[in-house]
Amino acid sequence: MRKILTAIVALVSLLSTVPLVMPATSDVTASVEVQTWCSLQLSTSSISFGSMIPDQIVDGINVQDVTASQTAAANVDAVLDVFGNDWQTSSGFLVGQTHWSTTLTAYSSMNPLLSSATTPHVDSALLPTESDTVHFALQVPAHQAVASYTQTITFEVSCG
Amino acid sequence: MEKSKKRALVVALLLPIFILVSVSVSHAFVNGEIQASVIILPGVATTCQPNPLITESREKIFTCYIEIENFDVSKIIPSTLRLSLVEQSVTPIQILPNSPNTIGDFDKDGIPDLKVTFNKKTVETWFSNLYMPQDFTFKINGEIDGVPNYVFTALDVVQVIKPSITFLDFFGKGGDINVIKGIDLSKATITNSQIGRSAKQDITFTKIDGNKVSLVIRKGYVGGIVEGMAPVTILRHTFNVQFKAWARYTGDNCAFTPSSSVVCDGKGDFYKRSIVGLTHESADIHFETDGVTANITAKQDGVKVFELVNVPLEDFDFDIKARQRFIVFGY
Repeated sequence: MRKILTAIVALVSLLSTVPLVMPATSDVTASVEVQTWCSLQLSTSSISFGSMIPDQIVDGINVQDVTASQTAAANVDAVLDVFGNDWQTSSGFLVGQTHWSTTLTAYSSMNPLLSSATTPHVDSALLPTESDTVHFALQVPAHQAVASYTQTITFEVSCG
Repeated sequence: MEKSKKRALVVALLLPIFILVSVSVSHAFVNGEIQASVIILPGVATTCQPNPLITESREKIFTCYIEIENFDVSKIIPSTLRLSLVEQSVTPIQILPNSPNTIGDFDKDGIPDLKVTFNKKTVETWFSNLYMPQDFTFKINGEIDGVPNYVFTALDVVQVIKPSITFLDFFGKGGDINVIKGIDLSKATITNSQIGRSAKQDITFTKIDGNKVSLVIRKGYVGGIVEGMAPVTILRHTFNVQFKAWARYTGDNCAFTPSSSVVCDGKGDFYKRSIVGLTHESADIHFETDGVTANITAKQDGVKVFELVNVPLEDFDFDIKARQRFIVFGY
């Protein structure tokens, strides 16, 4: 709204300098683009499941938490999704070994992480300044080779 | 005010000015990414022998085979190995000085194993108060060369048995019982001419308290495995021994139907097999039931040998018979 008012004042000022030779009536088109803005801020840029052995599950009190917040600059609700890629190394393992949930629960009851945004959403209407905490758990596949692995997890907001 | 500005003001105020304001809406967003990381360490497994571990047996060593999938088992540092128990407070022990520490595929699963040995007599001291055969989870901790700051844990479940006496009963009149000999009598093959069929019975304990034991009576059979402690006299010495027995009450003089209340007494024969061989004894049997649960008491010279309390009666389909016979087997 502020941008619209600014535009009108600027237009009126412009008109005050118009010579009287202009037509008695005129149409003036002013345009303004108002962006709906949803913006995400994460509580951390990395999480670590530490050291695990094949077939081990890290869940319960050992889950890794990430809090995703809509920034104050946001002006609209947002749909919040989370997804990731496969665990990476020379021979990695599937993205779905990571599970997530907004409630603390057992690994088997959490949502497998997928490779793209889809349901279930983390939050279907995340308000500006509000936040969601996402718990991540991991089960290393049996027989997985000894190595260090990484995975990129993406939090995506879609403006409502 | 200058004239030109006044005119402009008049124009601004009086002339109809049509302003078309268009507002377009677009979306903008900022996503976020994080990096997740994990370090996968070698998963170590072990198998220990003998299993079951019978205390006071002649073996002097307790052998464990340790294997690591997808990793070089020779990297295990034998001097760091410690054997102990899960959820039991025992002092961890090291491998024997003459532990072979050899590598082979002892379990034929295609994964090399490291063979190490421990002092079995020391292990046995962990079970001095063992009451009955019981599964224990053994734990081996150790370190791996080239994997710093990592103490692995390998687990194996081993049944531990303290030598004692097993009571086994069978039923004479109208039928007999063929028991699979061995340590575990939790399954027995029963041939009973009364009902003309054989069955393997799964037994569930409901209560074990000193020498008072309870058992579930399975469909078709009033009986089951009985375990507990009982006094046994051998060469004038009385020992509290562990026993494990099939028990069932039969007899014409104690017939009843489900839901009827019965109190009856009878005689039973005991055959004890111990270090002095097989001996034959008898016991007084007292049986009573309210039709829902039963109590069975066996006494020798007024001394209670064992007692079954609050035994649930389930869908048995034949009369209770009076005669009982018992055999006592040593492990």
